[in-house]
Amino acid sequence: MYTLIRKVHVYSGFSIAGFLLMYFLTGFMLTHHQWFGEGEGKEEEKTVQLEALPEVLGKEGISYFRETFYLKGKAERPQYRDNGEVMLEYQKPGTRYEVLIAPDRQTAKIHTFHESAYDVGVVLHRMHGYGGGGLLYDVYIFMMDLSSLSLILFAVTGVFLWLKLKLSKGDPLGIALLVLSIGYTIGVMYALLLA
Amino acid sequence: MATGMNTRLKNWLLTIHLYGGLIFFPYLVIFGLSGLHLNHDFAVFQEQQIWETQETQHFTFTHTEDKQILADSIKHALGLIGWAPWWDQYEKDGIFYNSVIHFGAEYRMELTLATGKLQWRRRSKGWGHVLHSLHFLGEGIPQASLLINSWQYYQHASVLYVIFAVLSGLWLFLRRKTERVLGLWVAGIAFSASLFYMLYLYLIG
Repeated sequence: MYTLIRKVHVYSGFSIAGFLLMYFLTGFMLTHHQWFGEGEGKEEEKTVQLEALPEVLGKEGISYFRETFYLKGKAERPQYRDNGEVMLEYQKPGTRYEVLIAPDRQTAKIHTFHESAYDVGVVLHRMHGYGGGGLLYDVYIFMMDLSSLSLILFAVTGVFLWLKLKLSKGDPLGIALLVLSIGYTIGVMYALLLA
Repeated sequence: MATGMNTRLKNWLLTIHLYGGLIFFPYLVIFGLSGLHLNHDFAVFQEQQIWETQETQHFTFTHTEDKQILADSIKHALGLIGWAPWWDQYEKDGIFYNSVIHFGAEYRMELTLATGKLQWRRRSKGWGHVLHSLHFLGEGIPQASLLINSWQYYQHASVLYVIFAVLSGLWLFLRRKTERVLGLWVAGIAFSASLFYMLYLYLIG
């Protein structure tokens, strides 16, 4: 059993190490943005004529702009504004497109942001949710899911391995550390719930 | 000599890997659950929308045109922790409306400017949302206790630990002669594939 759990712990780690390291390195960039500098990317804007824009903007609208104007990336759901404008956003690591469709649906402004290295890290870290980008991005989101599952797996199998390796011989330090870390976390949660 | 140093290094790495794992165990589990929630929107981690507490009291204040100063003075008078966002501050019909938020709760206040009557209500966001929020609590909350504000350092340390654990785990594994070849293949292919994939998204998308 120990050998099996150890293999799960090790091989699941190897399989997902690339994504896990990316997730934590980009997370580190996010929490220390002042070290990395948020950088300034380049921007471009153009106005385009719309022909055969689907009436219902949704999947069809997202595909329309993707195919007609070669916009790449993962799309968010259309945002409808009070003045009749509709905003669509496409995001890929390194580039963001904002499409602002005029109320008459005849023209649209496409704002392209070529992002800095810091922003690439932010996007890689923050891309979530299936859909909007096709199979290419859904696979990425699936890898993020696997990274999350693997973290839980590491943590739990790691504790199991410790139990087998050390606890049977007595490990007061390990017990103290585990109890303290869990107690500390519950304490922080409790404090936030009461505040 | 080299063998002795290698063995000592191995023992140190294993000790830090093992005990670090026990120290950061809660954060790893929270991070994993939170990451899954971001993609799947589980009901258990969503914010509760039930307003639980409602009170009225008298509030003495100095009239000011600056809404942020007034909002902050209300926050301090009530002994609240958190942020008073500017976008929730407005005045209508002689009543000043504002809010105070943090990861665990939301407060909504209504101050009648003429009389100083302060009505406020509290909404707890629920344990599920608080657990999910611990993923993002990377800075101090204004006026919060040392316990709450220490979490940001625990989070930073967890991030560094995971990076260390992956790399040290790889090193410790490669010292074993058995499975080394298979392990290298798995790690190499997976790592290269991940890197190639992210580069593909960046360059071609």
